[in-house]
Amino acid sequence: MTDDLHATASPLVVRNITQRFKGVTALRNVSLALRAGEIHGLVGANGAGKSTLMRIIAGEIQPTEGYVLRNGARVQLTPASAKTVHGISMVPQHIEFFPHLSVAENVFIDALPLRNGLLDRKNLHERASRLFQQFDLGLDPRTPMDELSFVQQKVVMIIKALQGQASIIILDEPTASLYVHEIEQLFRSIREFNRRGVTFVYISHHLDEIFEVCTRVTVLRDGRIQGTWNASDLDLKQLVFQMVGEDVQGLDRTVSTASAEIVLRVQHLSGTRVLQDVRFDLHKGEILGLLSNKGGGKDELIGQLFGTGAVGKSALECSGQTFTPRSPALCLRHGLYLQPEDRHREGLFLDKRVDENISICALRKCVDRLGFIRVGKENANAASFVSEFSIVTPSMAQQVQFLSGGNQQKVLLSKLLNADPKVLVMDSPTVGVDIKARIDIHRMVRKLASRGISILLVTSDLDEILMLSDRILVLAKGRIAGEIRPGDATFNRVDLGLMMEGGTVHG
Amino acid sequence: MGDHAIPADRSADTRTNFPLTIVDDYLIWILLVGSLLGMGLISHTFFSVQNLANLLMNSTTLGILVIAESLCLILGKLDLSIESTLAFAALVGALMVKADAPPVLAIGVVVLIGLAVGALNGIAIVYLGVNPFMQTLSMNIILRGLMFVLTKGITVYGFPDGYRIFGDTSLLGVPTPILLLVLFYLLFLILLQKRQWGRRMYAAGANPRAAFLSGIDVGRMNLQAFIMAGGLAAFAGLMISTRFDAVTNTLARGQVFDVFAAAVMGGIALSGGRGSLIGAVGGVLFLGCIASILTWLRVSPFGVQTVRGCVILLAIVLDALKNKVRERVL
Repeated sequence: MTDDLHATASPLVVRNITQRFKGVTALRNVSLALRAGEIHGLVGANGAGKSTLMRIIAGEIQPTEGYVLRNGARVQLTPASAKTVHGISMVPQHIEFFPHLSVAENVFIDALPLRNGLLDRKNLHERASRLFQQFDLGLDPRTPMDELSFVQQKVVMIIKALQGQASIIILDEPTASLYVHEIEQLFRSIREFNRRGVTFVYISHHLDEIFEVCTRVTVLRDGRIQGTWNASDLDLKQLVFQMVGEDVQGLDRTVSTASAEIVLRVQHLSGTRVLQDVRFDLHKGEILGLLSNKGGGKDELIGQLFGTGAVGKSALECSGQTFTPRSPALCLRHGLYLQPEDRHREGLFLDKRVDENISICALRKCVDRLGFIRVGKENANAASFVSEFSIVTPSMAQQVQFLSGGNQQKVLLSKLLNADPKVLVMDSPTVGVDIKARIDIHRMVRKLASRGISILLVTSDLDEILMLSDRILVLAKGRIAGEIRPGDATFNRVDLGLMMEGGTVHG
Repeated sequence: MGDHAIPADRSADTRTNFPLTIVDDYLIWILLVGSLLGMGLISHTFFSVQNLANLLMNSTTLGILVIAESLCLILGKLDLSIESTLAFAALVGALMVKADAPPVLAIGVVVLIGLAVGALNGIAIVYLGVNPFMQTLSMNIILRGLMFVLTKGITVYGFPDGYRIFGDTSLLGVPTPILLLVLFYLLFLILLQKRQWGRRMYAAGANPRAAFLSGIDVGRMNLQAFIMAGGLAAFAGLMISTRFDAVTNTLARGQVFDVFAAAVMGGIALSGGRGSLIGAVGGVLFLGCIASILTWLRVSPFGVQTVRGCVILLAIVLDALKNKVRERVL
């Protein structure tokens, strides 16, 4: 614990803050002092109060009790004053921008360069180019924002916050859906700005990032500060213990449940410009890891497998039947299901009930003999998943949007499992879920495989793929760059990283 | 500690905000009862069977159009052409029987025209990617224009009895249009709430991308909705034209706005995926009630327009307020 709550040198102090929402207490008597020039990690399970605390610091909500000191002086923050007067800037997890304006305009929107009262495009683009070069981004500043990939948009928005005059920057899950080399880039930038005196608050579920980039770390649990430590003073296990209040053992490498029977045979998957002759077999009960970076071809591969992208000519062989995946509906009929990466946009019906979400792919299980939907059946059907996967929800009638990220993900997986898939393609299943849910979901995946479901686990998360997979394929530059068995002692993480970037591994 | 999901600021159960959700869910019924009571105050003879039957009778066209529009709205689309589809199909049927075509054939053609118009709209919107607003607006203008081409502005009237079975008959003392209205509502209510098809409709409207990945053919759902909307509109045209025994060139003109008002007041979300036909019935009856009150008070036609406009505005504002309250509460 630190005792610099009274240090006047602290650029930002929150003192005795309590926040209540309609009877729910989100924060209880929280006090925290940042040190100038530090990168301060803030961790806690979903619902621990991280976002609430950060929204108070960013001036978005006024605390019920307590106050904020900026450079020793008590301040009343509003979203505008926090940013412009007090130099506090927040990059939220879900970024917002002007989709039809150019990248450069988005970055400099608060202070566009003018000449004779008109927009000085030349100056604007020069400044943007310089900035992008600095961050090693091959971006044309004139590109409209909505033509960028999700990942690029995120990077641009982080740069936007960095280039302003902010002296305190709050990063909320900045690496969500970024890939390994981008994360490295981001860290380099953060450290660079940190050297120039910017103080960061860094919120993340990825604890390894906390250890890598943060100097100190504060744990929030159930709305209370559990403690603040120097990052070097504690290890991962201790940190997790502080977060969840119990010893959570991650899954150890699990025993393979793969059998010799081939369930899905993918041959010569190509047809887009990206993919080159991708072929692999998936066995019954196997967890096949597919490790892929941004641009490695995973989106194209999934698009081809499910007929959501450009329709290729490639045929799949699923349980002995050959078919061309022209549409998701056709794949589903062959028992091939997809858990998409973006659960909000592509997976869930957010304003529908939990049971309605779980039943949508398996409505036939919820009807009587005349084909009428029976609410009782639907409810019982959903309830079995809710109890099996310990989904935390007040009732089956709860709208999915009000569940935590981890529980939403469990609902999404339940929806797919309800349809009795033979093959489940999981695209980054633990993005944006907290550590407890991550462990739960990993257990779920293993359990499904042991029931004979074949799983293609597509992710860029090395820990996840090494822990779960029976075999790992590395997809780089649209080709299968290599195949690895995690049990082998002959490879290491560096080799894997190299392969992902499309390099070759020698001896 | 299994309670790590301590309710954060946005995780309150939707049903705990009891009084507000009541207003949210039942707003239209509160308005309806209010206007009925107001009606009762104005006139002591209002609550007669005849009067209430008239109210229902006058609501049949609007009622069926609201079903048609709701199908599109649930998918997050809209159809502005249903009023012209209604009038155009009715006109073609009328011209056919005037030319001594067999009534059964004419009735069949009326419905077919509706389905065909819907199919054209659907194909353009689903497969050519035309914006639904522009597509159906154009269709609306084209069909109304075609009516003038066919009649040169003359009203067609005087149909044979065989042609008028759905508009000017009654069964066990209940007028056929009212029976049909009830029948259509029951049918579509069951289809939407109790059949897999309905679930897929709502899913496709709530999140088309997720629905597509869940194996729902969203394009086909849209096509079906527009075709059904066209067919329903044409059938409504058959009913209203045979009840009046005439087709004017301005039949149902501008009615699409009443349709939207009723649907929105009844809780059908313009953004798709939300709302039920039960609420829409409330919206229809409320508008019918307002019309009765205005007639009763002998408000001039010009005044009627203004009041109706205000009611529609009220509906939209209430809907917006409702969403605002919902956001704040949740």
